[in-house]
Amino acid sequence: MTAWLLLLLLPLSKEANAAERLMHCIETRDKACLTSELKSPPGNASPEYLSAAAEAYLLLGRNAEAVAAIEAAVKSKPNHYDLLIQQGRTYQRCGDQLHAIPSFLLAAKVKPSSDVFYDIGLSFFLLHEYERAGKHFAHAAQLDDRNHKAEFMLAVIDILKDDNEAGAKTHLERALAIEPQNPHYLLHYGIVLMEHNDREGAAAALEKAAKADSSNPLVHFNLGRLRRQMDDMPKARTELEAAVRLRPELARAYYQLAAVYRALGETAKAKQATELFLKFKEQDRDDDPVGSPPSYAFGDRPGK
Amino acid sequence: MSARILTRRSLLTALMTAPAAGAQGVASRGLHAAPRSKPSGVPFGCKLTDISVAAGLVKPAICGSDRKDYIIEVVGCGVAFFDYDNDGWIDLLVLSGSRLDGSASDATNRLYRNNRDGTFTDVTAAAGLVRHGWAMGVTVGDYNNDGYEDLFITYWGQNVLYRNNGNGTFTDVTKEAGLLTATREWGSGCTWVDYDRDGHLDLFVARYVGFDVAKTPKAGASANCNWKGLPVSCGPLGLPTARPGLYHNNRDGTFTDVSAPSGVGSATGSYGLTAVTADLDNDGWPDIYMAGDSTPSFFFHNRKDGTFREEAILRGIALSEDGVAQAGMGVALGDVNLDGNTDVLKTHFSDDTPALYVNDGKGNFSEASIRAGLGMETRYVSWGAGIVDLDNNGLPDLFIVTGSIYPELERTLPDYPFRTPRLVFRNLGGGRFEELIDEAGPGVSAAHSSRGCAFGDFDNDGDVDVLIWNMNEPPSLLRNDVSSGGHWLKVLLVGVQTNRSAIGSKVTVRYGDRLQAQEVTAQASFLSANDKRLHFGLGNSTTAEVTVRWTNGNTERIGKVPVDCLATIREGHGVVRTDPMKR
Repeated sequence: MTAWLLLLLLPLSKEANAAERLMHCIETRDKACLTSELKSPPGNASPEYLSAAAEAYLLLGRNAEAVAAIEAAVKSKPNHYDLLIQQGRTYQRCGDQLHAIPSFLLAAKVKPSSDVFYDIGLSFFLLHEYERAGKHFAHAAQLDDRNHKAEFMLAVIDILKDDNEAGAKTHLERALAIEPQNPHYLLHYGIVLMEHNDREGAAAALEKAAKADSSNPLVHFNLGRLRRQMDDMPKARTELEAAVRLRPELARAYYQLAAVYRALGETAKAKQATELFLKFKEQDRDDDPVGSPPSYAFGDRPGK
Repeated sequence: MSARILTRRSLLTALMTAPAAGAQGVASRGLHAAPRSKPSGVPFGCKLTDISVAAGLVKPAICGSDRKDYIIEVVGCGVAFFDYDNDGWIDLLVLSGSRLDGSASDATNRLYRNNRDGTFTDVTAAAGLVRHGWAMGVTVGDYNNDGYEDLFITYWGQNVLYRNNGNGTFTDVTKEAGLLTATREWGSGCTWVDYDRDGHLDLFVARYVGFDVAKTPKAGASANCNWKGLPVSCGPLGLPTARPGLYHNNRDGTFTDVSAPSGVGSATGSYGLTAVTADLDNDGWPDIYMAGDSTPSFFFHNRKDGTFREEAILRGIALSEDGVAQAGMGVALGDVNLDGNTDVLKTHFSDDTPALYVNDGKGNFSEASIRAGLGMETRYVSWGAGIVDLDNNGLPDLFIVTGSIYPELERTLPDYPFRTPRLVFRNLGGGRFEELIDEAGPGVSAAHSSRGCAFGDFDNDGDVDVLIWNMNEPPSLLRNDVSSGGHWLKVLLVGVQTNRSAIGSKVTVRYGDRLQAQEVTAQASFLSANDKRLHFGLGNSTTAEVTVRWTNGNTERIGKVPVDCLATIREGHGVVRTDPMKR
């Protein structure tokens, strides 16, 4: 995740070569390379190397070793803001929010940045503590009015905690003012506008989202259902067929497609789409990851 | 349409698991109301006034206490408009539940005889219909073809078949008919249906939930016992579903349970409520549609060989437009777009919109709720419903009764009152409807917690009146005073080879450049039964051309019939009588 952080640390390390080699493996996401490099760590591993190793272990799914590596790094440089942040994020990615939050709080003491408050908010969010999460996201947004990720998460909380679609719309608009082409924000903004029955606005947002990232099936799915609501069955069909091409198990899209085929008089295709809806509907749960890249939960720093 | 669900669905990915606080016992989509259109300004020539007190309907119908601890106390009952004594004036049946603490020992279903002067006399005892218990739904039909309408009433407990003796009395023949059940069931929707077209009415029975007071958690005890974060009575989600049943009429006063061989009993996973029968795919054989609460609704397609196949999802009539289960309560049938095909209106919980499904003529449905203008109304829990031409302008309107199930909520959440108004969606033509509440009269704007309702012309003045079941209150009887001057035609079918009630027969009327179809039903609305005289508003048209497709599949072209009258059509004999009624 935080390649920039590791690169900043590298010149300070005696084992710069080992750390650099590891960094290269991380950047290329080459698992064999990572495994091989981690097999022969330097004798007295520097915090820089340990930081890189923690990231490498995470990529390999070796969470316990990742935690041990970053804890060792922090131990040797206890008040290092970037290491504390990395430690917090490592805990966060391993699902240990109760250790992540103190680590972020220590980082906040060193430097009370927008990013660190965003991270604290995210950990509270993952603990379902929406109110405390919201306070930290709001603080993050206050410290940096270009922190679009904080605005996005505030939109999420408005919906989850308070059913406040109007508030969500405002936060999404702020996020989009900073990152106007972000396909993820555009998708959710389009959905919120659909809910507010602003179909033209929703269509514009979703078309932009599709242009920015044509590989997201949820964008095509939502465009398809919107076009269906607008009685434009041929366009609805195109979008929904694109959605299931990209994600063949997207049950919701088959249900919409069946209705579109019925409206177009194509009953055989409607039947086939219904069968696929029934086949996949159990898999198409509310926690379906389509459309929300994990990077938004665990991701990199907000773009500046 | 259910953008909230999708928004949540995708946003929740950050969480990985859905929060338990979001769960509740009733499927409600959290739908935002669509913006209201500018009023059409077109006068509405119908005024509905509640005349129940003057009519003598003063006894309350009971369903639990005013505090609702269990789901049995919230569902309520149906009503019926039917002519039990064949005097040409429809009478009233108002079902009643009971109380769990036994304090409503005198609560009973009530039969009111029409005095033909706008008043009614309670003849329950004389008719032999006094019964204490938890009645739910009613279906009216002449199962023994003796010329008198019989009653089947569902209960939480033992359902009851009442044979009409033809002398103003009824006899409980449940046992002789072979309809006793071994265990306590919660019968809900029910409809007579001649599924094998042998001229004898068979019986479909929906069941709601497997319910046992002792085994049902108290309010707030689990995620399915919360709504909007507040503790409420549990269910139906979290309680066991129950299978529907089908009973074949043996033509000798007895019935045989054919649930398993017919395939009806194999349908699982729905909390069944209102059941209707109609030939929805126009293949000449009656199908069955059952509203499912918080679960998919069922469409039992008649395979013409004594078996049914459940095809609701395939036909687009099981779930919302987005494939989400809704809290299906009531069902109305009618031809909203005047294309000769039977369309379906299904009512749902609050934060959702009623669903209007338009039929393509082959039994495939497209949901048109939003396009039709129904999406602006999401405030109320909706129950009984009808597709009826209230102002006789030739365009069938929609009428819906509403009422919350959570009386304890309004103190904390004033946006969710327990008593709420009735809704009228007047048909503007072109597939569009306009909501009218105050404009449709004081009987519509009055707030009650209503459940079942039935449509019929109790005063024989050529329009459609409404009988409404109200929770722990006397019923409402809404008299319709039509001022549009529109013409009308009522059609009463009498089956000969077909079952005598002609249930499942379809009447198509051409008037002016319009064509409208209606089918004779035995249950509709919410667990209720409508006047069997089909009412067609004709607008300015002074001619009407009638075609009947009888339940056995035979089509009889009747030709032109006089307007502004009741035409009685006997199978194979055309119009045998016209009554100008009193207008």
